[in-house]
Amino acid sequence: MQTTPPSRAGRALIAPLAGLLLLAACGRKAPEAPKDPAGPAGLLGTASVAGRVTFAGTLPPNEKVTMATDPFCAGHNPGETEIPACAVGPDGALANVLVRVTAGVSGSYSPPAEARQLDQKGCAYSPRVLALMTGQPLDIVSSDDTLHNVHAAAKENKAFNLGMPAAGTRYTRTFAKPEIVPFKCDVHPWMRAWVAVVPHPFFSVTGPDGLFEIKGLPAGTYTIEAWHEKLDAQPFTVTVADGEKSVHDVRFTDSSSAASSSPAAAPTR
Amino acid sequence: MRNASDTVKEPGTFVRVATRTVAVSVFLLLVAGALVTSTGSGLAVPDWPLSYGKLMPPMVGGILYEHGHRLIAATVATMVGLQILVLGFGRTDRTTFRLGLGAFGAILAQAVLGGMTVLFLLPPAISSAHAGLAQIVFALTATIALRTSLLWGRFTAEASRAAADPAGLEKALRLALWAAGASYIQILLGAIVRHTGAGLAIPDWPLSFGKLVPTGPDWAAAGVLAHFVHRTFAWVVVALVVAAAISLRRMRRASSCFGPVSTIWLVLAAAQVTLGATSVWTAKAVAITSAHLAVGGLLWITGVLAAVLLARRKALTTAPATAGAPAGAPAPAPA
Repeated sequence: MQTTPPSRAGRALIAPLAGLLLLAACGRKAPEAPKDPAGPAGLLGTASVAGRVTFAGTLPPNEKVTMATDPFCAGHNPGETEIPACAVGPDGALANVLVRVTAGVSGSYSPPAEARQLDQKGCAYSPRVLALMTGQPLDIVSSDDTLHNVHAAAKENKAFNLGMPAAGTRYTRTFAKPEIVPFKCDVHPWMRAWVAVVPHPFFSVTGPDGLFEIKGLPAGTYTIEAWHEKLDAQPFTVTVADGEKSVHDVRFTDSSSAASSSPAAAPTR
Repeated sequence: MRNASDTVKEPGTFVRVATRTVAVSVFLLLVAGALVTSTGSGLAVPDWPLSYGKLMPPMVGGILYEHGHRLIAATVATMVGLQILVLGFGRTDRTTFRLGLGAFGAILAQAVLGGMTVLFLLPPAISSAHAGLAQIVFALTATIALRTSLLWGRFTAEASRAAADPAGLEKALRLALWAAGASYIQILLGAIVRHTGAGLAIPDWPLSFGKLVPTGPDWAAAGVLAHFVHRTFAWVVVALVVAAAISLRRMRRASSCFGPVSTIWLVLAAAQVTLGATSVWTAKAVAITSAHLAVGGLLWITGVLAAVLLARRKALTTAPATAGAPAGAPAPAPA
């Protein structure tokens, strides 16, 4: 294919433009590899730490309330209702204890895409203690046919206060920084929940049986903390090898400074 | 609306009743606000100016207190606005009229602060300012009620009959101003304690952690400093109120109202200390902490009104020729 050479005027125009382009290209820095602000990706391993959280001694008394100020709540909770801040099973199993690694984890972990759910059901939060990763969505829903507000008194993250005027109301929020965020309903002051935001996936919350298990740990030494809303936190240290399951029970007592945590059994593989 | 040439006349019954009603309503609004914070309902309604997007949400739980406070506030703000018309058409003196304008401006600012404290999730600085400005509105409306009352006229007439020691009046006025000022500072300190959740930072009374003064590690706990300053400054207020009340009582020959005001002042101071202690002993029972705020307001207002009366008496003493003039006559009347 034959091409027509540019005219003299065209050449006069192209030359300075080419010069400008050359200058721009020289002035531009070479593209850098994107930096991960959170550092290198964290690893998942095959070790785990499991155990049982119990309470021994005299429990701090749970608050007892009447919910007469809201007929809906009173209908679901007639008479005097005990708020289960300290929920202890028949054999001392302590529920709603957050067990999380507080030191020893390196690298950054991507949050799972699936949301955790905090419901308002029967004028109580369900669950009372919930843990999720930084950046993981939290679905806040109401199953109650009465007005609630969800007041997240965050300190490190942005605090918020949302109206939940009817059953089926739903909001989704994420938290960027690690902290334990107290949630409360100012309409019904007995309603309290704690949402733990953790920067890695190594955490667990005990159920009524008091059991916890933290899976996927790389081999290493970790400081782990058992946290309860009413009792002093109980830290302990474990060292795990690849594939090892370390069993470590935690015991809270009424004089929490004397509370102890101890290996319950030899590590198993 | 008004100018210096307007004729000032004795306020009529309607003006007197209206201004008194406004002042009492502002006090009830204070109590309603105290109930909001004492029940922890300050954020029970997350939006403002609407409540859950409505004018009238279901009044359940904490909404009863928070939305109830908003309804009362709207009503009282309207009353304070209408009071300007009452003062204008009632031909009250210029100072009283200006106080009415000031009260309306203050209550509008108060409404904005109330909205901000909801939208910004109860920041202590804004919530404390809301509490402090409320007492200014109360002082303005109570002063208006005093200046349009029959007592004000009687007080003026009394001045022409009874002699008063100028030095004694000066001293009583100075002490009343100090006592009122200290009471207001104590209200602000109390607001800080209330809005930072420091009400039980020191769990015992009259001692603090079993000691006269908290020691080393005690200070590390949140709110201890604010709480200790509030309970310590209370004794400064008590001392100033006692001194001011005694000084006022010594002037009772100058006016028949000084004796009763002095007694009321002392009773309120004693009640307020008792309520403060009881707030701690009952772990902040709602009725007690609300009463503590209400009596604190009354203590402050008693100081303000005592100072207003003493200033008036002092001015009438230095200008005896005008003592028989109508209430708040423009030229000689002190503010």
